[in-house]
Amino acid sequence: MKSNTIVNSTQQYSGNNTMPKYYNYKLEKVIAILAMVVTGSGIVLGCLSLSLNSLDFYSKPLLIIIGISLLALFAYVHYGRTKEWKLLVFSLMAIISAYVLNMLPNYLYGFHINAIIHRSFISAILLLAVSIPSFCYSMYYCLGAVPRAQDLSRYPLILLPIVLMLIAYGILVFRLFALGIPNINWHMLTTPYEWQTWQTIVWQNGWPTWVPQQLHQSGISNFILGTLLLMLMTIIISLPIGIGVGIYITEYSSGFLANVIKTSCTVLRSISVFILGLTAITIVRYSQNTFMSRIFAGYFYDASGNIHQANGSFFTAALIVSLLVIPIIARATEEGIRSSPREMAEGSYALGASKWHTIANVLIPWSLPNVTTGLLLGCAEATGSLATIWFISGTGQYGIGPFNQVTSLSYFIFYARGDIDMNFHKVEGIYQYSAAVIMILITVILSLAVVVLKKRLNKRLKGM
Amino acid sequence: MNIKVKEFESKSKDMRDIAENTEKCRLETIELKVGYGAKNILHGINIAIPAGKVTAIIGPSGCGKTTFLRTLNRLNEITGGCKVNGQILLDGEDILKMDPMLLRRKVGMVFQKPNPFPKSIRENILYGVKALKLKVDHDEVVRVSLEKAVLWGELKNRLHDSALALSLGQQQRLCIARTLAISPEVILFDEPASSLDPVSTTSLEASIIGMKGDYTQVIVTHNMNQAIKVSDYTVFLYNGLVMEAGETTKIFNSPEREETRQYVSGKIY
Repeated sequence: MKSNTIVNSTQQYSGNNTMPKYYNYKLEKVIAILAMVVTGSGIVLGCLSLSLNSLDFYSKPLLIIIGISLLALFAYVHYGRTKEWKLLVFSLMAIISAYVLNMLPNYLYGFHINAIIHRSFISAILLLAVSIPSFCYSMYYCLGAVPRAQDLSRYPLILLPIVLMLIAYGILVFRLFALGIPNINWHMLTTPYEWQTWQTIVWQNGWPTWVPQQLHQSGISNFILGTLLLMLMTIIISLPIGIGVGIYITEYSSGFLANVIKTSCTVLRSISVFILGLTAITIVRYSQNTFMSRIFAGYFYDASGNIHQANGSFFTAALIVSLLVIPIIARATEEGIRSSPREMAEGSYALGASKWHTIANVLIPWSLPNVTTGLLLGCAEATGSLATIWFISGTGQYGIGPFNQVTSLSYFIFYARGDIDMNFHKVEGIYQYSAAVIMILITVILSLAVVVLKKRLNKRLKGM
Repeated sequence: MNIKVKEFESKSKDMRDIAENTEKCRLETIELKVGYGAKNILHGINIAIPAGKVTAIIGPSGCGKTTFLRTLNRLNEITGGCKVNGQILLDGEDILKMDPMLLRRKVGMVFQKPNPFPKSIRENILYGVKALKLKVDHDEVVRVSLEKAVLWGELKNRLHDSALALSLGQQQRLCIARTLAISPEVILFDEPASSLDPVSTTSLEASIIGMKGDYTQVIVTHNMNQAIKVSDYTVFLYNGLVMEAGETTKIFNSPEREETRQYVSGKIY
């Protein structure tokens, strides 16, 4: 009698009154498990054959097996339970994909695409496209085709892309750390990079002679300090302006001007950053040979004490990077002010406070947690900005200051092995991945600080 | 009940007669018309609010009670799109031509949902004082305001705790205290007890009764029992017009108009 009650309970959910009397649920479950196993291995093979060409050999038989098992499941379910046409569609897709793969040659080229693609790429895509939905459907029937099973069986659809992406990221980060961490040592972190050669006069036997002197040091401390200084100056410039713009958008202007400013914030973020880099180099070029060259183009003293003009200062770089960061902070402030409860602002006005007093004492404290998030995004933007400061940056070996040559860890990672300066490669090439590790570390520390700060601000300023 | 504006004869001169004869009237509205955009909400209100007494404004939902109250405070200008015609005289001075900040110092407001700022209790009470840059002793002001709102005993050791940690009833009385801190002449209550439980409502009503004589209070309420208990004068608004106005006992026991009788009796039972 136990099997009878099971039959009755699931019969309620099937929504179909024309089921045969002795429908064998166990057999359905077995076929569904078989289909799940087969499609699961299809997913695994699909992911693996994205990177390994040799697995392409197994994809055709696997596709045919997937097709057959799905067809079996479809037939059984169609006979007994309900018309699940999608199973038929996927099984046909699998068989047709096997046929198509059979027809394709090993290497695909042509169509004016100057690249050669191995067939395993196509087979991987077809395998994944067929296997993932079929996995979900067979899981549904494996769990008994109840409504709760529908929810459960769709989880792989959501989780699989996330997990695959995480695995890919994990492999990348692991490789980065494996290559970068062995080279990190205290000496490298605290010594600035120097490569200078100059001549001094030495008296020998009563006659002056020129003797070359050199200062060759390998280390990345000036790049680290350069990144931090760039971050700091960007925040100093863009924080007041960003908060001001955010307040203006929400509180002081309604209508046309606010919409113009909001649209320009969005547009500014989508400008290619190379154009901003061109803006930077234009500012530098036009300010050279004028009185403003110290501010915008930067200066430095070499070892002999002569002053030289650099090709870009931290001030210019911070100005250009803040063009990208101001919209972030303005948007964050705007969201913070808009999310504040209306009664609170009304309560402040009802006590006789002016608009400015309300904004400064009630609305800005409320939106500070949002502004902190905007700050983090702005710092990340400044840390990772290579294209904006590409043309104006250098090695920063003559010192780091607001009006010295701008440099950054991102510049270093490119130039460590990317450009044609052979001396630089020889001295600094091994630190390329270590610099990337340090950049990640800076971002992680900043994120943790922001999380802690946001929690405390939420507690203090919002009471939650 | 369909009443056209032209057929109606305002009865509020009863209240003005009473007010002029027996005591000074603090607030007076003369042909007040308020509208948002194309829609008119108040069609000519003539009301006199007597000084030192509690006036209740009752009426069904949507009749313009809250709009009227917020016009007295000029708080409806914050949202924008509001047109106000007519005059509102506070001790003879037209408040529609006054500086809004000075007006809101004299006419305070307590809202339906308690809205303390996310600061400490002391900072909440001193907010208005600091906003208006009043030269008063801060500790004294805090103590006096909390005593008037019947909170000093509970909160005198917790002045630096966050105001959001209080219960709703305490928060509402804190809002009253911070309105009292700037020494207004008129206090407006917009359904102050509608989000409170009965015990807090009782203490709130006790505070209101305790402030009679020192402050002029106008309270909008849906609760007929509260109106009877607390107020001296009542105004019945309907569809943006004053149906009837006068002493509370007269309005609730022997109303003149049929609409007032229907509304009042419908709520008592």
